Amino acid sequence: MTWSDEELVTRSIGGDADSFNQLVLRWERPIYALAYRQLGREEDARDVCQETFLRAFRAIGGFRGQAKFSSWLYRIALNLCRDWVRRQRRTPVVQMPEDVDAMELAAAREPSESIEDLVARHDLTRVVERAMAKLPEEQRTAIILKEYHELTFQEIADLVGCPLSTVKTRLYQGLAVLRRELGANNQ
Amino acid sequence: MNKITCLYPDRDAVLIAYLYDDIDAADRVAFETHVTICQPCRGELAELRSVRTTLGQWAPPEPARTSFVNFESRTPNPQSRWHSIPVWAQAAAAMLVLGASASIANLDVRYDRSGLNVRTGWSKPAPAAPTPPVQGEQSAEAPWRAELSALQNQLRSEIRQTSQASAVSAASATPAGATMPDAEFRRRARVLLDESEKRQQNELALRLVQFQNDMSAQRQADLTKINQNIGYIQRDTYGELLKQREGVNYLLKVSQTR
Repeated sequence: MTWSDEELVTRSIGGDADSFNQLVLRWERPIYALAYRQLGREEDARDVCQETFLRAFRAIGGFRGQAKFSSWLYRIALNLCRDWVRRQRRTPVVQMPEDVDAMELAAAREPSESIEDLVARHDLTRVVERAMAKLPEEQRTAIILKEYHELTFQEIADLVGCPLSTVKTRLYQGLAVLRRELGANNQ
Repeated sequence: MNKITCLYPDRDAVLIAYLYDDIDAADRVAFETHVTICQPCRGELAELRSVRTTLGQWAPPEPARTSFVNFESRTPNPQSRWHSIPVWAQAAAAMLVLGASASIANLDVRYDRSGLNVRTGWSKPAPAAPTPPVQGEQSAEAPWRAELSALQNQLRSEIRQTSQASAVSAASATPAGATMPDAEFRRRARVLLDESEKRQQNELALRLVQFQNDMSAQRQADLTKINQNIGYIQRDTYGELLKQREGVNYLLKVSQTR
């Protein structure tokens, strides 16, 4: 039987760690992906992901369910990413393309993917990461949450604490920058 | 970037909402109708869709570990813990608790020739008059001593049987337990080696292709540069030739006029 997030949260609050482990299994990839796209480094993303779930585990007793569990997790992860960038004084999102490990891509690719496709994808990844690195943090966050996590505008607004219209503006401006950057790269 | 000249109300926000299909039905229909007649909006929509397609191909690398954290139960299940304790130990613990409770409750249990007497209460009974030692009292206590020793023997035999049974099961499990981890270990090591080999091959192939691409690009650049240089040289040479020819012609003209 598959429990909903809310049911698993209730059971976790009751002390059932297995339920919380199920939540971890369900959400660790999205949280890791969010952290990776924010920070641009796999190691950092993994650390932030782990810290996110540790904090959630400690604070699950105080979760009252006003928001979705996933939104609550995203908020923790985004705050950690922000703190991480400030603390580490690292430029977010891959202005260090050498750190992008082609082997990770090779490991993740489909077996039928040719080397040429792999190289093309690798290049494309670098191009996208460079373009994303040029965005201000709030625009990048809005695009990541909308594009890759499929949150609604309202959910993003609640998550980052800004009006709904601001979210749309940030998305529009961010996409406009990306269009320019990606277009310039194609020429 | 193209200058947008469309005056649709709140155009950018509506365009983004339409792009992500996060829009009211009425607004969607209205904007759809607008897009059919507005070239700038149609063009920008197509470009932003193209950006989204490109973004969709940006995937983070797979994390090395399958799972990040594994949480232990904060409140261990008492039932499961009790199941791991042998029955005889549970009985001994129960006896201990019973004894402690009895001592607290001033429980008085007597088992003598008159039978089993149990008395409880905080008030201590009046001490009975000392009875003179009866000859053969030791032999009168013999029944409960015998029962106690019988119980003791029974417990010992049960413990022995339990330990023998666990020893037998452990012994029977030993061969499989000794070989399985090795086999499993070898299998996992083989899988890891295969994966590592595959990755190395991929990496080598990737580097080779990149090297080939770089070489090709460099060669192309060099060829272009050489062609340009040859062009310069030819032009210069041709220019010199023209000058020399003009000079010769001039000299011929001068020599003929004289």
